[in-house]
Amino acid sequence: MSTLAATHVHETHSHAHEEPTGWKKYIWSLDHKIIGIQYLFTSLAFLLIGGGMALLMRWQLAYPSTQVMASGDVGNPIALPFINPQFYNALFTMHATVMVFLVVMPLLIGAFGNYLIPLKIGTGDMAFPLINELSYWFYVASGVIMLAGFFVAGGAAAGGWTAYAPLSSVAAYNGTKMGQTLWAAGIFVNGLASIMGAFNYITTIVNMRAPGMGFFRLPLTVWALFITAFLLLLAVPVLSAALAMLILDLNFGTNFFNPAQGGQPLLWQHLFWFFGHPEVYIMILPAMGMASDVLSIFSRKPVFGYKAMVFAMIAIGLLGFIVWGHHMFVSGMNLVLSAAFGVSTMVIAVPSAIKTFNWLGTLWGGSIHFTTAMLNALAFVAMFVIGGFSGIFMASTPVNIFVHHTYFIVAHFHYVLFGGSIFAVFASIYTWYPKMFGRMLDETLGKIHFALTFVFFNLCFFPMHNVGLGGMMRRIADPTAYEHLRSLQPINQFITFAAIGLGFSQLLFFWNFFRSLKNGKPAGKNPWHATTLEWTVASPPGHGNFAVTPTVYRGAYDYSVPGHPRDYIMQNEPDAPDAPATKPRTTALVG
Amino acid sequence: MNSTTLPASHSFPTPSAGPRFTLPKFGMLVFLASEAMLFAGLIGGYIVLRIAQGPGSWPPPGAPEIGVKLPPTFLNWVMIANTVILLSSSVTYHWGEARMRKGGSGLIGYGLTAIFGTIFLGVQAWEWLHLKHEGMWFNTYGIYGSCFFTMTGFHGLHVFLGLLCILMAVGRSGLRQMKLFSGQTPNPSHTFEELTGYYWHFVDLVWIFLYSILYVL
Repeated sequence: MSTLAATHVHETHSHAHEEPTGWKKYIWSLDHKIIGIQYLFTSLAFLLIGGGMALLMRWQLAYPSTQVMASGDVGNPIALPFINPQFYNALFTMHATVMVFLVVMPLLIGAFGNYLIPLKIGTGDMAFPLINELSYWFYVASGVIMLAGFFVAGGAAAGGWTAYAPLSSVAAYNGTKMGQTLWAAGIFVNGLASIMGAFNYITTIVNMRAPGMGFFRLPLTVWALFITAFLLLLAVPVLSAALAMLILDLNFGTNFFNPAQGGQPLLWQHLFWFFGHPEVYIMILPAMGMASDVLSIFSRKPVFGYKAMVFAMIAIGLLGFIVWGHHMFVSGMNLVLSAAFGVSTMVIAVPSAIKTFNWLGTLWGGSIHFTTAMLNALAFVAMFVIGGFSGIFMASTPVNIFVHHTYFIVAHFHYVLFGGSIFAVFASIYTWYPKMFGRMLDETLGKIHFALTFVFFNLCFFPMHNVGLGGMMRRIADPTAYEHLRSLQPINQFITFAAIGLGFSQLLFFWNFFRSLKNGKPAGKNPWHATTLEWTVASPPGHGNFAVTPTVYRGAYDYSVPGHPRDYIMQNEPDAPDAPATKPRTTALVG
Repeated sequence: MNSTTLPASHSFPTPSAGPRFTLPKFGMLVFLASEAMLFAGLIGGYIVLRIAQGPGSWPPPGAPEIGVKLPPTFLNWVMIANTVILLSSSVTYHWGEARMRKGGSGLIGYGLTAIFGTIFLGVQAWEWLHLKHEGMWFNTYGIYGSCFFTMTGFHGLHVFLGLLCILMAVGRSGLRQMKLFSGQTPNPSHTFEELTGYYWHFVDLVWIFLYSILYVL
């Protein structure tokens, strides 16, 4: 065994750089694990900022500072007086921008992508460690640029995260030329970080897999991140082009989106959503991949239909590029075209359903361990299904026209983004935190956090379907200003209290997270008895990850193999020559 | 234990045959796919905007004529020559790389590429100033000016970044030449030159598309 392993030691790309020490390790490390942890901490900090903005908005919606009371008194006694409509607009714009570009994408792709890809494919680091670290600092810079908008004349961008022209492209309309420009520049820089990460991941996964790690032995997490990297690579630059046009229109008098001079406001929508829809899958595919792995580990069963899962993700990625028009059904689009976009959108339900049924198939008959990670992964599946169903409603043009720009949409994308992606992130943090920091998170606190989050999440976002169907528009600072919404105001206040509960429940998570860094139980190499390569090395793994490049003998999901003494077989365990259980499969291939 | 117990689907990288692409080259090619999408976004936007102008209103009345005419105008000849110069710079770069792989320095090839690249950028700057003098700028003649200056500007920025890399390659080949003169072995790593080459050829390829839609069609 040792002689075999020794022949496959690659010295070409591991240990290409020395490990820095002291503070340098956390500022300018080229180690993918440190970079992943940098992404994790930074995006959790941005999560607090984005969540704080959400709570301010919710308070304004429940107790609007602009409300005129029935008695004729102006103002609401417990309103926050500093929230005026312009600031409210800036809040929802920046809440979405921060959550999309600074929280969900960096958590899924920056933190877990960086941390897990090299470990799971059995290599020492990413293909381009320097570009990896540059990508992190570009991401930090993009956050600073975006949030700087709050401190310039006119305030932060307030035209929604979709920044539809001409509201965004004419300074006289949006009232904050500088804020809107910083918003666009921040996302441009963020896009550079994404592109750097994307080609780094693709190069790493294609070229640096350990011997024996064929594409169809990759854990689904790696497959999902691989497909996501292609979406980033091809969708983000189109947004960059649109952002450049927006910055030029705002500051240099070009006319791309100016209809008076032959420009087209709709061009912005096409370019934005050409990026924007793949972006939706950029934010859910990695969550699907990681949730698949978590479900398999804690059901002690192989992922049901592994190849179907892979091809479903590829199909989702490809279809994601031809459905962007479903965001634009009310833009005056040709009805034949909108029918085409509607059909192509509904087709995405097929691979999504394949994934959902395969998750259920993975659970079916499994020996399910209800760890905190598993609970979050189960919540991911359930919430994703709810968000997915409301997505199918909207794909149908007539329904879409009715619910367009209402809270029904807000409910939908929070079910997929929070209910989907963030629950998957929690599941992943509980699963891989022991690997990252060498200590376990507290399970009791974790379960309380999960229960509170799950309950408050649904109390907060489910009623948004109802107020949306009741006609409540997105992006309004004061629902009480509209007669048809006044009867919905108690629901709005209920949502606000649920949101506050949801927000404060996260403090439990942060407490657990930071407390366990020092006080958690030591994790050991493989606390979950999982099969993939990251669990073969110490927690946390040393610089360079693997002392000897591992050789892979099997797929990532050999759980509960009949006849095997343990209920899991590591990917780098060779078949014993006299093992009866796994032998037939090998010989069946030959004979 | 030997590798025959491994399943048939299993394959080890064969150590004798080197990989077709080294990691940096592979990464550069993937990155260029992203760059291609950037220009695809710009060109797609241009096509949409221009088709919507309707027949007969392109270029807008009174705007300076940049499209190729028969017989060609002075400006046409200048831009045709500039295009030929940029495309030749790909050839000279390739020649420099070929010399370098055969053990030479490639200094003349890289030097010519740097000169051609500089001429291209200089002529672009002259064209911009000329058109500005004629009253055409980012904010005039509707989207005619916007599209022209944004697209040639993005491309010019890419040429500029490529040119910086080419100057670096010239410096490296100069060092190589000095080592050759003094009988030493030059730096055997060609990765920088190869990556710069991919990028430069890509930028040239983009120019063929931009020239076609901005000047010819």
